[in-house]
Amino acid sequence: MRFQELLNENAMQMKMRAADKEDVLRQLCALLYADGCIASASLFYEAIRNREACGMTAIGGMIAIPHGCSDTVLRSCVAVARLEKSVMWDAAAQQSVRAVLLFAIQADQSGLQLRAMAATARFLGQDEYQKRLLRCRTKRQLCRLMEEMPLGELDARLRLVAVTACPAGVAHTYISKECLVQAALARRHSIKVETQGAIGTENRLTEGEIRAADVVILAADTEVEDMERFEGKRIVRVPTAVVVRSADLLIEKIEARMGKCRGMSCE
Amino acid sequence: MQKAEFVVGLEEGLHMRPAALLSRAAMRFRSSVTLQMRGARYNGKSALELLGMCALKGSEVQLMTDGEDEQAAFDTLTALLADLGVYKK
Repeated sequence: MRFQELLNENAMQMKMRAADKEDVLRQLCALLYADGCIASASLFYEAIRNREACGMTAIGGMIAIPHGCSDTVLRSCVAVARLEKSVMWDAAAQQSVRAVLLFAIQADQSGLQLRAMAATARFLGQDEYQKRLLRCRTKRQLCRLMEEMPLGELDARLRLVAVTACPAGVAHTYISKECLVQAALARRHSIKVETQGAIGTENRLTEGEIRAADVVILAADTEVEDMERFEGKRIVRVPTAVVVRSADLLIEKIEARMGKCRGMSCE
Repeated sequence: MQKAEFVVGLEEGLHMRPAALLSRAAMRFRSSVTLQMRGARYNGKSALELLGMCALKGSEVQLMTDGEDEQAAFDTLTALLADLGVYKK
C-alpha cells in the first residue's frame, strides 16, 4: 500500500480556524465523519483524546501527528489541518503547531498505524519537508509534497535508496530509475531513486532517507556525486545496463545478501 | 561501549509513546545512545528517529551506549526497555 492512498482530500482543511487543540481535533473528526471514514465522531474524538492524554504527539517543526486505532474507524485514512493561527498542542513540552496530521486507523490494522506513522516520522522529521508542509496553501500542493515520500513505504520489507546516472544523462538515468522502481515495488520493498541527469539532480535523497535505508544502489556509468553521503552504508554498485536488463535479478540478489536479514520477516 | 540485542515484544511495535519515553531517558546521559536494526543506525535520543525505525513486534534491535556514563545509560535504558515491552535476548 502506498502512503498516498491514506491521504483523503475530503478530510483536509487548508485554512482551519481553530480556538485550541480540542477544536482542531473536533473539526477533523467532523470531516472524517462527513466523509464516512468513521462511524461516530464522538467515539473517535474520545479515542484520540485518550491517546493525547499520554502527550508527545507534537513532532517539532510546528507539526503534530495525533492518531487513533479504533473500532469506530470504517476506512483508514489521514486527515490534515493547516491552521490559520498556531495553537498550543503540548503545553508541557512548549510545542505549538500549525499543521496537524490525524491518523484514523481501523482496529484490525494496528500494524498499519506504526508503519504509517514511522513513514511520516522519517519524512516530516526533516527540516526541508517540515518547512514545505507549512508552506502548502492548497490540497494539491499538499498531495504533491506527500508524493515525494519514498514509494512503497508502508509495507516495506527492505528500504532501498538508489542513485542513477549515465554519461549523457538523458536516457539510461531515467530508464534505470523506472526499472528499479518497478522491480522493488513488485517485491514489496520501498524505494526512492535520485537521478543525476543532464538536467541536474532530481528527487534528491535526504539525509534521513539515507540513514534509514538498508541498502544503497548506485546504478551508474559515471561518477556519482556526493558519495560521502553514503559512508558506512551497504552499497551495491552496478552499471545501468544491468538494471535495465535485469532489475528483478538485482533486487533478488540484494534480498539474498540481506538474506537471513531478520527484518525481512517484518510483516 | 556497551551493547546488547533486544526483541520488540510490544503488540503495536515501538510506536510513538515508547519512542518518546526512550529518547527522553536517553537524553539524560552524556554517552551516545544508538539503536541498530538491520544494519541501519538510529539516534536513541531522537523520538522521531526511533519512531522512524518502524520496529514492529518481533523485530530485533541492538542497543549501544558509548561514552563516560555508558554503563549507567545502558542499565537504565535496558530496564526501561523491559518496562516498555522490549526484552533482552
